[in-house]
Amino acid sequence: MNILTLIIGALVLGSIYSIVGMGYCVIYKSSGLMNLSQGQFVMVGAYLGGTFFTILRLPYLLSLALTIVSMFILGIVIQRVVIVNLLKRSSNYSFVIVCTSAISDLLMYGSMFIWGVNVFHFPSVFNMTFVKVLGVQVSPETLLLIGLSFISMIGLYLFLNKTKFGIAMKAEAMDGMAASSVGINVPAVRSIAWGISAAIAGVVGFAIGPVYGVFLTMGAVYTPKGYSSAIFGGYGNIYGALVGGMFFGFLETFVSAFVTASYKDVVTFAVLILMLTFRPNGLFNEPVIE
Amino acid sequence: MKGFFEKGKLLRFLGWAAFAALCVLISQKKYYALVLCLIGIYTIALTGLDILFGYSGQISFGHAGFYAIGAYASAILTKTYGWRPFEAMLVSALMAVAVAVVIAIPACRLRKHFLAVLTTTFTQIVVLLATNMSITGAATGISTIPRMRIFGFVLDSRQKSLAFIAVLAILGLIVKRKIVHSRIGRALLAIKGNTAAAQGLGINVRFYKTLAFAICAFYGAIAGSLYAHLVRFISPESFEGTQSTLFITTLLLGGLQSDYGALIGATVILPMKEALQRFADYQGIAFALLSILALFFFPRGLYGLIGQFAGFAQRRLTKRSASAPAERNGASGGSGEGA
Amino acid sequence: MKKTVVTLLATLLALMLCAAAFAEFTQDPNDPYAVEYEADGEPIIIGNFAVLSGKSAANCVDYDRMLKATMKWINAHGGVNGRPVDFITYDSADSPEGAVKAVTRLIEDDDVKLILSDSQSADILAAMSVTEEAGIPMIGIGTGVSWTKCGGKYTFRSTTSGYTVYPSMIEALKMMGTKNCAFFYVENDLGQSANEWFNGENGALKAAGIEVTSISSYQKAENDFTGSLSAALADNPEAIVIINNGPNELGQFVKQARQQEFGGVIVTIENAANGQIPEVCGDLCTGLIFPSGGLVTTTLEAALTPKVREAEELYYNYFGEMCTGSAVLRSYDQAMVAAQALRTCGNVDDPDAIRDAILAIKGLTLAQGTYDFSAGDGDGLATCDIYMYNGTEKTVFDPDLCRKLLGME
Repeated sequence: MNILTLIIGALVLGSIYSIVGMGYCVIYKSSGLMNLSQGQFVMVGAYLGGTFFTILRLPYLLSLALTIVSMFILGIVIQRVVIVNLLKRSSNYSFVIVCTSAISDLLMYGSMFIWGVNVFHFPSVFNMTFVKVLGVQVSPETLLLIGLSFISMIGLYLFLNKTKFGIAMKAEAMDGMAASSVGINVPAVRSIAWGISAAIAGVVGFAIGPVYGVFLTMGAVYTPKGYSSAIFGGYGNIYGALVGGMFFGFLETFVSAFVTASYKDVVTFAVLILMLTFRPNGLFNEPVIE
Repeated sequence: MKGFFEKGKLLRFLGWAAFAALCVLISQKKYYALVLCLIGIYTIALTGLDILFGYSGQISFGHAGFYAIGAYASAILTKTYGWRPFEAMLVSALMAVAVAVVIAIPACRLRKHFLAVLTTTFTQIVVLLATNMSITGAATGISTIPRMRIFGFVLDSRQKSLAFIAVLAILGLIVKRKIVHSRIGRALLAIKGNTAAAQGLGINVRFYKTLAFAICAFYGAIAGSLYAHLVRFISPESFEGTQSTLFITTLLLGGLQSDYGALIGATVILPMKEALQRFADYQGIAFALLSILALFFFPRGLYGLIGQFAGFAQRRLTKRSASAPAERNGASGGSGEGA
Repeated sequence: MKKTVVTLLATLLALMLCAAAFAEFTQDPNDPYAVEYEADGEPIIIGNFAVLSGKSAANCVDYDRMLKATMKWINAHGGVNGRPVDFITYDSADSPEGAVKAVTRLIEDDDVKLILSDSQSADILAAMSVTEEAGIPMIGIGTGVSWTKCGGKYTFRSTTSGYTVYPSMIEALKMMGTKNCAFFYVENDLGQSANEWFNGENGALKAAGIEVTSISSYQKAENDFTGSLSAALADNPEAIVIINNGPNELGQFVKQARQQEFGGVIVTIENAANGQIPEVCGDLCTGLIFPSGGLVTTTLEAALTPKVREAEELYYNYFGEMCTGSAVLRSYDQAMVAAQALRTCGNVDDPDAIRDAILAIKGLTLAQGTYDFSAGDGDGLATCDIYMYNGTEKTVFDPDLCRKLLGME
C-alpha cells in the first residue's frame, strides 16, 4: 500500500474540509451565527466557475477571479438582504439557523433551475492526465486544488492579520460594542465576513470541478464535513478549522484504507458527537460566544 | 360578553364539524384518504416537534431520526418477530424515548448551532446504520409490513386507517394541550425565555429538557410506526435529512408554539405538495422561499396569521358594539352639559 | 406596513392554492411531450410514475423523455389496434412514499389498468404493495433483483435484471483468464444484492474459480476512493469488479484506479454505457468492460441492431440530438412491451387479460434483446451482450483486443 498516495488523497479532502470549516469560523467570529449553506457555496462556486471557464471559455485565472468576485457579492447579498433583516425582526437564534438551511435549499434548487440536473464536467485544465510526484501518479488538478486551498488560507491569514479590515474584524469579534465605539463599522465588517467565507468556498468549488465533477448534491456533502472540522478545532478558531479539516481528511482516508470504507462517515460523526459531548470548545478550547 | 364567548365556542365547534365532514367526504376516494392519512401522521410528528422546538426552544434537525426509529422498530417487531402491530407501535415509541434520553445527555448541555449539529448528526447516523445493518433490511428496506391491527380488527382499507390515525392525531393534540398548559409547559417556556433565570427559580432545567426530547421522540416514533404500517414499505431513503427539514418547514409554516400549528401546517403543505406535482422543478424553490418569507413576515405561522385576522375581526366587532353605547353616553353627556 | 405585507402574503398563499387546484384540471397546451392523437378512437390510458424531482432526478431524466417520445411514436404509427395511447405521469419525488401515493392515485382516481414504473427499485418495491393487491400489472425498468424476487404476480421487468447481467460479468472475467479480482460495491439495494450473488454463500466468483482478494463497499454519492482503492490494490488483483450507483461515481472510480497504476480490466454493470464516463476519464476508460442489453452509439449508422437504430432514430427525431445513455433503450422497450400487451390482450379494460398478454409475450425482439415472459418470474430478458471501451469508444468485447490495449501481451 502506498502511503504517499493516501497522504495526497487525505490532503485533498483535508483542504476542502478546512476551507469550508474556515468559512464557518469567519462568520461565527464576526456575528456569532452559523450558516448551514456553507457547503452550498462550494457548489455554487463550482457551477459559476464551470460556466465562466467551460461555457464562456474565459482564461483560467480570469474565471477564478470572476468566481471569487461573484461569490463575494453573493455572500454579502445574502447577509444584507436576508440575515440582517431577519435579525432586525426577531432575535430568535433558531430562526437564523432554519433560515440558512432554507437558503441552502434555495441555492441548490436555484442551481438546478439554472444549470439543470445533469453532472457538469470540467475539461481538464492541463494537457496531461497524470504527473509523477515522488514516484506516485497524481493528477495535476488535484495538486492545483491543494495549492489553491493553501493560497486562499494564506490569503485569509494575511487579510485577517495585516489589513485594516481584518484587524477591525478581530476587534469586532472580541467586543462588538467596544469596536463600534472606537469607530469600526460593525455592519460592514459582518457583511464582509460573509463575503469572504462565500468567496473562499467558491475558490474550492472552482478547484473541485475538474477533480470530482460538479453536481447538485455536492454541497450537501461538504456542509456537515465543514462544521465537523470547525467544531473539532474549536468553533470560531480559524487555525482550529485547518487542523480539524486535516484531521477529518486523514481520518476518512486512513479509516477507509485500513478499517472500513462504508462506515467511515459513522466514524467521522462519532468523533463529532464525542467532541460535542466531552469538549464542545474544541481542541483549542475556543470559548463559545453568547 | 359571556354570550359572545359561547358564540365563539359554537363557531369553533361548527368549524371542527365542517372540517371533519369535509374529511369524510374527501376520503371517499382512496387517494385522498391516503393523503389525509399522511396529514394525520405528520400532525402527530409535528405536534411532538412543537413541544421540543416551539415550546422548549431547542432546535432539532433530528426528528426524522425518531420517526425512523419508530418505523423500523415497529416494522421489525411485527415482520421479523411476529408481534401485534399495536403493541409494536407502543414498544417502538418507548424505544425511541430511550434513545432520546441518551441523546439528551449531550443535547441538554448544548445550545444553538451545536444542538442543530448534534441533532443533524443523530439523523445521519440512524440512516447510515439502517443502510448497513442486516436486521433493517439494509438498503433494500423492509417490504410487505403487516397492516395495523387493533383488537383483532384489521385496518385493511385507507378509510379505516384514516379513522384510526385521525383518532390518534386528535388524542395527540389534546394530550399536547394538556402538557403545555400544565406545570411542564410553563417550565419549558421559562427555560426557553431565560435558562439561567429558570434555574434560579428552582426549575430542573436538565430534567425538563430531557423530558421535552422524550415527548418529542414519543410522538415522532408513533408517527413513524403509523407510517410503516400504512405505506407498508420503508427504506433508509425515506428518512434522510430532507425529511427533518420538511418537518421543520411544515411546522414553521403551520405555526410554532401553538395549539393547532402542526395540524394547519400538515393540512396546508401536504395537499399543496401533491397539487403542485406538475411543477416539480419549481417546488423546491417555492418551498425554500416560502419558509424564508414565513420567518420574516409570519414567524408564528399560518396559525398566528389566522389568529391575527380573527383578532382583527374581533376587535372590529367589539369596537363597533363598544362604540355604540359610548356614543350614546357621549351624546347623553353632551346633552346633560347643555341642559 | 406590516399589515399590508401580511395581507399580501396571505393573498399570495391563497392564490398559490387556487393555482394549484386549478392546475389539476388544466393541461399545459405548450407541453412539448403532450401526446397527439394521430390514431383515431378513444385513448387507452396507462399510468406512469417517474422521478421528476429529488436526488436521482438527474439519472432519470432520460427515461421520462424517451418514454413520452416512444408513446408519441406508437400513436403516430397506428396506436394500439387503432386506438391511441395516452398516459398519466405522477412524480414519485424519488421516494417510496411518493411512489405509493402515485400508484394509489393512478389506480383509484384515474382507473388505469396498466402501470409503467420508474427505474428506482425502492420505488417499485413500495408501489408493489398497492399494485399487487389491486391486481394491476406493472412494468418496471429497475435492474435491482429485490423486486422480482419477492414473488409478485403482476410485476414485470422490461430490461436486463441483475441475474442476467452478473453471469455475463463472470463470463467476461473468465474470457480474460482472470484468476483473482477485487470486489467493490455501493451500499444500496443493487450493490448489496449483487454482493450476495457474487460473494454470498454459494458465491458465483468462487464457483467460477476466481479468487476474491478483497471486498469493500462505499456509501452512495462517494467520490473519493483513494483509501479503499489503495487497500484493495495492495493485494495486486488482476481485475476489479465494481457494482456502482451512477456514472459520475464510476468515472471517478476508474480515473482513480488508473491513477493508482492499476493496469487490469475493470468489470462493471450496464450503466458504464452512459456518455458521462468518457467525459470524466477520457482515454482512461480503456479496459472498462460491461454487459448491456443494448448499446447506444454516437451515430445512427453505427447502431449495432436494427431495433437500437429505430430507438436512436426516434430519439433523434423528437429531440434533435443523439441520446447519450442506454437508459433510453429501457424506456423504449418498456413502452413497446406495454403496447404489445395491450394489442394482444383482447380487452384493455381487464387487468388480468393484460397480465396474461404480457406472460404470453415470447420472441419479441426489441432494442435490448428478445423478450420472453413465459417463465412467469416477471423477467422478460434472459440474455445480454458484453461491451468494452477502446479509448472513449464503446465496442463489442473482444478479450484479445482488450489484452492488447492494456498491454498485457
